[in-house]
Amino acid sequence: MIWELFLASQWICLIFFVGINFSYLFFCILSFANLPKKVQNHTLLRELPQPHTDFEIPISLIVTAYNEEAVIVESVRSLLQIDYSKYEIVVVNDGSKDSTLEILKEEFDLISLPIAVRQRLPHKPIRGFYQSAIYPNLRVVDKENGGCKADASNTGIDASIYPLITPLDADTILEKDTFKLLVQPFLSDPNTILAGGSIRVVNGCKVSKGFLEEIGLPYKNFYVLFQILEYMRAFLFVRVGWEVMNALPIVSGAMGLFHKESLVELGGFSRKTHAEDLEITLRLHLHHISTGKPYKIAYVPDATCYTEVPDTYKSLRKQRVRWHQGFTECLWFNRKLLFHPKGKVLSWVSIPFQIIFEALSPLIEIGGYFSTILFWYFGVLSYEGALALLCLAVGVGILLTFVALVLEEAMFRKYPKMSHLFILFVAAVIENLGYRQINAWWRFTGLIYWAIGYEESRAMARSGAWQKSAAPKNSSQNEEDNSIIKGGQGSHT
Amino acid sequence: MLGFGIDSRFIIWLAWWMGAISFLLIFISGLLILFLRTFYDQHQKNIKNQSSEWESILLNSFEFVPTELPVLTKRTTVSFLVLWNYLLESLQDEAKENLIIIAYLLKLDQWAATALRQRNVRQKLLAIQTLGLLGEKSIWDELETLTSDKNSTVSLAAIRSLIKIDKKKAISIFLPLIGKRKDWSFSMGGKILKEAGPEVISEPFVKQLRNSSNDDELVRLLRYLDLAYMQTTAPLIRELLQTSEDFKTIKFCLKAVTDPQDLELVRKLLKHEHWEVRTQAASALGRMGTDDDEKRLIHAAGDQEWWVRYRAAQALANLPSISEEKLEEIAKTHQNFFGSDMIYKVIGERKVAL
Repeated sequence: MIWELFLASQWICLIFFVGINFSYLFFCILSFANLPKKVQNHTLLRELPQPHTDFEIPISLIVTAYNEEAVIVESVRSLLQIDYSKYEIVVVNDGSKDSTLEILKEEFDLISLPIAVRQRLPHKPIRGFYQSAIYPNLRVVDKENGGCKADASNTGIDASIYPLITPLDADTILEKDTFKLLVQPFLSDPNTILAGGSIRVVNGCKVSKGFLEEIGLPYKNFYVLFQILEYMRAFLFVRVGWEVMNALPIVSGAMGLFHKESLVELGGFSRKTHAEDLEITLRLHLHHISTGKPYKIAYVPDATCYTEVPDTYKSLRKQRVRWHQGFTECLWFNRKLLFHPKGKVLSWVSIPFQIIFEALSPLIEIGGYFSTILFWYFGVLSYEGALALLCLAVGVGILLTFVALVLEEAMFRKYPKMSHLFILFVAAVIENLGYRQINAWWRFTGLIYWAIGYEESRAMARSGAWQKSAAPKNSSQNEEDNSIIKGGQGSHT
Repeated sequence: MLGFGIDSRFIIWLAWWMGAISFLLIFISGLLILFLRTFYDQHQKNIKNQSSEWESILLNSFEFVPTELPVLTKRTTVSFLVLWNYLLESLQDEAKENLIIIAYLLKLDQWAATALRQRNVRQKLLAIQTLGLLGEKSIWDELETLTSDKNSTVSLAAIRSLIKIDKKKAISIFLPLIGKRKDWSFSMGGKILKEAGPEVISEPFVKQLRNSSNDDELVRLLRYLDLAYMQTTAPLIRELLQTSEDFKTIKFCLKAVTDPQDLELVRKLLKHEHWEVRTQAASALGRMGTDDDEKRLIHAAGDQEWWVRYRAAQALANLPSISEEKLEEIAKTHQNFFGSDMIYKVIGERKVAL
């Protein structure tokens, strides 16, 4: 009986394999059909002069900072230069133990103001409120440490005055016109409550004064190269595909523009989850579906930000375990979305897809590997069959990455050198021979952690190597300390 | 027997073939990427070579139009037009004439007229914009048809070009559509109306507001109220402030109100049940209030809504008779803790601003 069950499990693996690959193929087709239209609409916006009209919707950029003394000044300076007509920067010093606040005070001539903040969201108490005497649109909130990014973001939302908000990490690198593009869905559809952009990897790039100077690749670090490809697949066809069906389940926290009142209505970001960005997206869906309010969650593929990704085995493992734990947790918190009678494509296609092909996928993948070994042990494994399926799995895996590379080349061409293309080709092949399997194991661990409620340390080490070109000389001695940022501040792709 | 226990030779056969097809597609994708890159690099090289030549011709054209122009190849037409449009959008009127002559010499009007029918959105947008900048009246009907295009970027670009060709005629097409096209960018709409100018839009705008069939349409138009002449809009604003029950309508009217005749109406609305109306009423009093409004604003600074308190405190600070010392005294003696805090905040902001 058990043996028959084992044999039957292979059918599950096969159906899973066919299902996931056909779904991704479908996303590719949707992306090829829709991405050019989306990008072309914005091309002239970028190519021709666009004087500000005073009719743009003002934006509050909320920068959460915890022990960021090495990068905070550069980061704020870069935000002060973005190309947008009306915006404010609200830096939330989340109880830093280093001199983040003192540096900000000195550099931007901060003056203390009475704390008259409109408190509508739960967060740790505010200790001080400052405004820059040099830049009227720069304000700093000093608060007690809340232990998670959500707490700091909620404080920033309370202190902000504009109708659209975006929570940013201190080390996020933006393109100058990122917000001009990201705001477009709000201008064209008043029902838009959230717009997400693309995230790319900054490791290997040259950054100067908070802006990207030259795009590059860390040739020797395959962990980073694999992640570049993962981000490409996620943002170039998966997101586009879901958005076309108005069922985008995830918007990355590192690049999301939120309608503030919609967030406040739901009580802001949740402090109980490992992935507050995903959780709020799902909660926004659930709330609007349940109440029948019309809404739109949009994706703007050419609104781009760059972020640092883990470059060591240890930090990458930690991030992926935490992401998957957070991902499963968020799906569980918002389980009412599944087959919700009013949920349309989101509830009947997108959420089941997320559960089967994302949340439970490591279970099926690891199960598949385990049973293959078992069959080999019992001598019933046909080498020809195993080889054929392995060849197919690897082939389809590489093909999907190559399709993403074709889209990247046709639409964006962010990687300028021919050598970049070749190294990405190589990485696309190698990725399937080990990394994907390890990744499945990390995600499996995350799934188990979620099931048993295990809490791993949320601190995540980042090398900050890309900052070396930009960081002030006197801060280099503290680089190692400052490269430790709160785990909650990473973003889920 | 498939080794995993699935007894089917067919599945193995299929897997082999699918795997082989995948690898073939990978190979083709790789070649396609390399082809795209090579083509793009070559294209960029050509554009760079020709652009520098065209750039100097276009820049020199501010003074004179060259008697002989190089041939504009099909490949470089788009990049040339981007440059041409860029210059024309950035220049003052008198410098534009020669650029327009060059465009006609190169028969760009013909290219643009053909490109209007293309599926490529970028080229279509470029064509629409070019025809507008050329003031090409012969293409009016086609551009008018494009104002109802499903793509909001295309339809708004067509409106903008029509405005450039004939402001009055285009405004009569544009205004009725603002209330109906919910997908149109609010900022682009404002940009177009601003370009048309208050002398053209004021009267038809008020007429359109009066003809609005519902509150939703009315509100969409009211957002642009301050782009029209105040003296033209004032009677309508007054009427709406007196009669409307829709808080959004009242809110947008309060944003634009500047006529001292309406002061009593604004004062009454400081007690409106909706906080957004109270906020705008406080802001309006900040613009047009008198010393008689001091008590009202002190009271409003203690409102239960943060925004009303903030705008009322700001308005209070703007009153002619309010000195810094007096403001501090008001903050100190304010009966409401939140009101006192808010006035102190505004005092601090004013100090920072100085």
